[in-house]
Amino acid sequence: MPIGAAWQTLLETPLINIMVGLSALAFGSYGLAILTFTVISRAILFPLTLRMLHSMKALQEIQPQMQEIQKKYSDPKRRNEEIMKLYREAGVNPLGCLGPQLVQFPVFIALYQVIRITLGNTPEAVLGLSGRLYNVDFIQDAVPLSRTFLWIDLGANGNIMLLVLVFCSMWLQQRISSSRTTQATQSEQQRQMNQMMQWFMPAMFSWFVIITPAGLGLYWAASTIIGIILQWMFVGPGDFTWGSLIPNVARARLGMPMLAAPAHRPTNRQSGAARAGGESESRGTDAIRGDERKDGRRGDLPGAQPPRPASRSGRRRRHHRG
Amino acid sequence: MRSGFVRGMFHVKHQHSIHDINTDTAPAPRSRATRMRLVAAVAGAALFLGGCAGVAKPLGWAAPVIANEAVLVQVAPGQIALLDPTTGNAAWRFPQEKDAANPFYATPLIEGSTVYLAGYGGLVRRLDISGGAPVQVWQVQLEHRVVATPVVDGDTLLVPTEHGGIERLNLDSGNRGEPILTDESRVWGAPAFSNGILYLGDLDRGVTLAIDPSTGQELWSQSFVGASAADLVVANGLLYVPSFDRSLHALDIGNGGAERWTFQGDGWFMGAPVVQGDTLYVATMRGTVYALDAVTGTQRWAQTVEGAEYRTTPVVANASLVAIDRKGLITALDLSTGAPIWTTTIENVEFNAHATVRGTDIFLVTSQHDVLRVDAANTGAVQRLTVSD
Repeated sequence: MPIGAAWQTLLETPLINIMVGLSALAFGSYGLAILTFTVISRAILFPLTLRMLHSMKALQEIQPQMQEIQKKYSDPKRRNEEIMKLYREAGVNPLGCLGPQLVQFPVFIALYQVIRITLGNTPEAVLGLSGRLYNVDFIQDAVPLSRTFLWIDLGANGNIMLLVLVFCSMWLQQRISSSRTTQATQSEQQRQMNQMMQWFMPAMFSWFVIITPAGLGLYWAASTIIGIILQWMFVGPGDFTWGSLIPNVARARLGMPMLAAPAHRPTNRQSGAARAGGESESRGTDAIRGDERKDGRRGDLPGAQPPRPASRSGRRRRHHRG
Repeated sequence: MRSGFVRGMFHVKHQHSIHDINTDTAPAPRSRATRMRLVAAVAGAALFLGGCAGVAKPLGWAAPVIANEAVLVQVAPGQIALLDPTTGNAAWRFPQEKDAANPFYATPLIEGSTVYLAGYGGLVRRLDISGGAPVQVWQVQLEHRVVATPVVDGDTLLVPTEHGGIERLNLDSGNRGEPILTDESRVWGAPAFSNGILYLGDLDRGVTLAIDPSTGQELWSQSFVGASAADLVVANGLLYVPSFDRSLHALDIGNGGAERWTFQGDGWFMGAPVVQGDTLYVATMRGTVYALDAVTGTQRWAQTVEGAEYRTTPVVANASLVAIDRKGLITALDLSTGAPIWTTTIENVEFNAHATVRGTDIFLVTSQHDVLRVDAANTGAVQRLTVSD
């Protein structure tokens, strides 16, 4: 069977009938059908989601050991080996969190197609639905479907209300997730990456919401909110508080205490002393000072130490010592 | 000392190589490139999905009509042409360019030498075609889309819209009168007009209404489980309402719309029934053609064509009933028995528009606006009159 036909027969057409059937059961409301489908799909994916949440929690719990490893081993290969060993011992699969996302992706694509077919913008699309419906009375009789839900035209693109909802819910989910990854153990790059993803992912999905029918945005917003609730229930909010959403600018005006900048793992220059006393001690301290000199130029970065006054290179100093 | 210097140099170099790999400090070129690749991949996925999200364009399914022995037909979205029925040569086209925002679902309405056009985008026009070329008399832009074919009532053009209301336009000037508001429910099927009463079926609620257009007063209504998207027909004192609930309903218009009978078919009814004497013919989207007693609804015969999907109204030509399948399978059936007389297949077409008949010729227009002539007297020989651009 060609891939296109298999996709239609095994995923798209059953999903069309499920959505139309749910719509018939949900008092003819397609919006309620989408919400019901979201709950059902999240319930089916719950075992995978639970595994992901446990993985997240375990990752959170082994952060102190991770930090130790990061400090102890400067050799990346050795460090990675130790980290993988720690993962094995803790029973953590760092890719475990991808499971629900990977399973959701084809559902997301199929649902996009289904909404386009069931709530088509053209009269031709309504007729096209006839050939996709199973010959079951209550499914056949459910057409045409109600396109409107809470003043939202589910078949139309570019719903601003859903855009805001998807952006805010995804941003919040990213924020809660990143807060628990113990930023103290994160490198500068990881932190930058997290910050980028915190804005980039919501922005990307908001773009999807704008260019796809509003029904898909409704599904994604509902699914994200359910994800937040599950995360909160099974892992907890971590260090996230609602008060932390108030920016420092507003805090200053309201007379509230300022938020501290997120702590992050010391960089090489900060951990230099520890390293000098640890495994890398045998290498001597000059090379580390060389790094310090290099990093000293970036003293404006958060957590960076002020540039050292000495501008001599490690080589020159060594030569000088010699 | 020397060895220490060398070792120190080595250490320095070694430390620098670690530094390059290590991600603890500011992004190294390699990690920056990785990040850029990630961003590019995600942006590419976004663009890909964005590209997939193209909205389907409405094409229109207006039926061809016969005007002055010629065929008036939509030859491009929002553009009609008057074609010679044998050669396909166009006497004129209107407008000069296609209008993708106003494809015609409503069949052009001809009253003598006047043509009324109602575009999907709500643009309604009156044309005078008495001369060699059409002359636009007026045009009105409505706020709502139009799918249903308008109806003329005296000096008023009644235009049902997708908003559920019926716009009233003066035939001479195009001036808008007070609209008749029913409900925010789409009207797709052409209303029936009989003895000054307008009969209207709606798509979203499955309600059939009888309205006095002069006052806008609702006379009666009848609700069904399924939607009504097909053209309504009045005959034998009955209003025939084909429905998506796989039923053909016959309402007694002289008795407040009381349901006289219901005939259950095997699929949606999108095409209108054809009444010939005391027999009614109707086809379903599951490929079955039924002949019923028009008064009692009793089935006389049924003929199922495997794999066929009838979205259009069957036509009677050369004393046979011709059913046109969406994918181009055309079947002529014996009117009294339903036995197949001939079949012909047209490849790579889609038919959503009803056909029209002139003599023994059946004129069809595809969803891509190719115009074809099928000779019912010659076992369905097909002539392609025009090919769309």
